[in-house]
Amino acid sequence: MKATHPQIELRNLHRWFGSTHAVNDISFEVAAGEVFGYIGPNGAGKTTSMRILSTLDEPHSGDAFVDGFSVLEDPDRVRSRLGFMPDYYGAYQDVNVREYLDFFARAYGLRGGERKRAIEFAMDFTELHPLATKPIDGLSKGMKQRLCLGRTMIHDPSVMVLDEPAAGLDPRARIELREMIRRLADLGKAILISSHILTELAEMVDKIGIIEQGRLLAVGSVAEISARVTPDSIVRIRLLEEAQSLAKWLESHDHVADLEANGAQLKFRHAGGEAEQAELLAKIIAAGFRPVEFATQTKSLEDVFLQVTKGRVQ
Amino acid sequence: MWQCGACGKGQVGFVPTLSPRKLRKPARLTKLTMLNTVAKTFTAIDPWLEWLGDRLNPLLVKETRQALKSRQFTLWFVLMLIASWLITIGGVAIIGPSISFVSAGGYLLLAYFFALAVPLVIVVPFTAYRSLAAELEDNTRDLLEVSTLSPYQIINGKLGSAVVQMLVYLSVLAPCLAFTYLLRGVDLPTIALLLSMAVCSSLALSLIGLLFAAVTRQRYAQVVLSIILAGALFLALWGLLMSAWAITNYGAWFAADETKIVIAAISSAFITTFALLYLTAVKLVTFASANRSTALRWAMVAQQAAFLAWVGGILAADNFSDVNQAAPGCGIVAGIYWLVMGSLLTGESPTLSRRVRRDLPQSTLGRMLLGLFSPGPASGYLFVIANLLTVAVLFLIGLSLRGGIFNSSVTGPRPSNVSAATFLLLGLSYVAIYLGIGKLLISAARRVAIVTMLGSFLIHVLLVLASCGVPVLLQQSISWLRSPNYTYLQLPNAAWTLSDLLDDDLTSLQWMTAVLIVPAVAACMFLVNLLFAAREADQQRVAAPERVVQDDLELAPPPELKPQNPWEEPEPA
Ligand SMILES: Nc1ncnc2c1ncn2[C@@H]1O[C@H](COP(=O)(O)OP(=O)(O)OP(=O)(O)O)[C@@H](O)[C@H]1O
Ligand SMILES: [Mg+2]
Repeated sequence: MKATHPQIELRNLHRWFGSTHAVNDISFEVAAGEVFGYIGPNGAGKTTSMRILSTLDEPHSGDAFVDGFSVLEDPDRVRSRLGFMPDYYGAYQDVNVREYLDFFARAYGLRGGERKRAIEFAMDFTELHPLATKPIDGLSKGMKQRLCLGRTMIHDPSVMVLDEPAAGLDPRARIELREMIRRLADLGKAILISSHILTELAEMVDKIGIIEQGRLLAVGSVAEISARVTPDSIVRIRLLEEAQSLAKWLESHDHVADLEANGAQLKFRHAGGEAEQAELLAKIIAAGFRPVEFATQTKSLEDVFLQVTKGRVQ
Repeated sequence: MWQCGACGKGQVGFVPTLSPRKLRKPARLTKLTMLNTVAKTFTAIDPWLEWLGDRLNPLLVKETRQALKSRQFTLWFVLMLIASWLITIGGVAIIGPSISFVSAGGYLLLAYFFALAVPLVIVVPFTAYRSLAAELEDNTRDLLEVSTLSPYQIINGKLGSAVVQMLVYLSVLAPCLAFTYLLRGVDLPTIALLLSMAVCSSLALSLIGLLFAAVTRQRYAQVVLSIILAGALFLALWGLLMSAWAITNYGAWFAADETKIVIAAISSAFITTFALLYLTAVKLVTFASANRSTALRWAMVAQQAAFLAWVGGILAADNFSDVNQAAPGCGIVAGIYWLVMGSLLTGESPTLSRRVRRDLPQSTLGRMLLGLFSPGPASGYLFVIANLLTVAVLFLIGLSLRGGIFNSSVTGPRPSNVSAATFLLLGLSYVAIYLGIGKLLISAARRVAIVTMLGSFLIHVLLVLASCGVPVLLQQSISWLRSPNYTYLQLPNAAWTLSDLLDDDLTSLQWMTAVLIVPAVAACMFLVNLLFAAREADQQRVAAPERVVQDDLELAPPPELKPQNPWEEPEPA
């Protein structure tokens, strides 16, 4: 049966801590198979809204839904469908990796062969097999993160909420994590992930939400948001000859600003769309200049983030 | 470890690896057949163990595994072993050759009991407390909460781990206790009673430990609570040892007629209190929008019913001739009980969550009968008054059967029937007044601040202290009011009014005034709160969201309609 509702939905959430408005009217949706990147400066309210979504905290007003179930009214049904990976590590003493996973598999009501398969799958997926009998307090940061991810997926949830899963991972582990998350999304899970490592995030998300001071400033794909914040693009041209004369020639043109010539290189801001850019290139060639490279630089997630947020802390 | 005779390895699944040639050897045949049978039994048991392991509580499995690896557990185990050996050797050495004719078993039994009581009453409950409190400190509480473990599973798992630990300690000392039985001066009922006392205390204290750990998430409060708990445990240990000492000294206590009744009464009080505390602990770890009140209210009713049944049974044995003597005492017990429960129930939230409203009784009759069990402060108030009224009415019936309510002649022991009846009426009225004012104060305070259940309890404590203490202070400190006798100033003071009433120290005018004014005020309070209750009962039942209905259908599809008789055609789908 095709679900008619989004897997994750936040609806006008508000949460105060004393006078701090930690979550201020946040609404967004995530569909099955989608990875939603949640970014914002420290103290923006990411963790708070994720905890509300995971039934660990209560909003003052608004509601959140997982697979159509309200986190306020039906937390029990939400919990069986949701995997939450908090930004801290919850460990037991005198427990090894396999026992830890076994405990949570039991806690989610998995029995017999089903439980064994779930544990095997999680250990395969996170490559924890060599560590199966290692006590979990002795694991390194990256290993702990893998174990947490394994625990989060043990009951095959349809929704995963991951709070800074990449924090403290080495570059290789980060790349592996990225691939794991993409694979989980391909399995049809809706994934909400927060991270401060924007370059990593940009490569795995379908949509992002930018939050600051509890408010959601922008939602959409990176391209959509960047087009919305500044439609200008940066154009870089390399000529066979000195670029100074082209710079002079371009000064009188429409859509062009912030010219910077440097040897054979020229950089400027262009306010038009792709059609105007093609036209401009044709004109440049017609005017007798000989460009070897003509490139429009797409804005990175970092640029977008810096443009959207203001760096205020509440 | 059980070893396989053929291959010398500790393998259970060795059977298929046996070659037929080996089987043919006659000398080994019997041995192998035996092993074969054993192995078969093992393979037969294995799925059962697996099945059982799957159904065991996840927390119990995890914590037993942890305990087997933990140092603390090994340490206590070894300490207990050493203690039991020391006691045995020391005891036998002191008693010496006279062991066969001196009745020294009692002392030895007490010594063993001490060695057992320390781990059972201190270690086990405190470990239970720590294990739940540590979930909070180690950040694993959230992980438990987002899992699909039910609140019952969480409490059962923690309690079950305490029981397992208890059993291990018991198994160390069981042979020692059996040994004392061989000596003179110890009988089986005493050993059984002492053991069950230790086990029940351990269980109840573990539950209280869990309650303490579940009651708050604030770290500072947890520090205070852990100190209080430690103090309470040592107090309990002292009490347990004192009663053990008394029991062993009393000798042949079980021969007395009343003993069985006393033990049975204590047991039923224990069981009902345990049930109430257990449900409280469970509800403390249940999510906020769930109904966390109804089950507790049923447990309270059950506890009151058990209490009344005992009182009734004991009074009936004497044909209810002592009902006038029993009424004030039972009234006080019930009054204090319901005052405490009421101070908590009136702290409930007045707005019912949509989740709770899904399960509200729908019909008018259902709402009238079960409305008292629906969550909410006003329904809580009415619930308490209804229960206390039941106690009062039952005793009034008893009084009217034994000489009439208005009978003021004192032939036997005091109080007179009319004093006892007035006592019940005024007692009920005071509870109605205190809880009624407290509830109004809480609703007023809720307009400006959040009032928790603890806050509600404290408001009531202050209220009762103030209404009893302030009149006394005024009367003692203001010169023209000063008097050692009862004055009208003490009308709000339940303690003084009720005790003087019982002692017949009120003048008849004072008596009249109290009987007229206090119930009248109580009736006003009751009516005001009834209005609140009407508003609260106005919260209608709501239908479950469509998604929930759909999910329920997926989980439990309705049974297919079967033909009712052989001629009926099944309808095409
Ligand atoms: N338990 C709490 N008590 C009081 N204030 C809190 C609490 N939890 C969060 N806050 C406040 O709410 C705001 C949002 O915090 P939150 O942890 O959600 O931010 P975040 O976006 O996750 O930040 P980070 O990137 O640093 O993890 C902050 O101002 C924080 O101080
Ligand atoms: Mg955070």
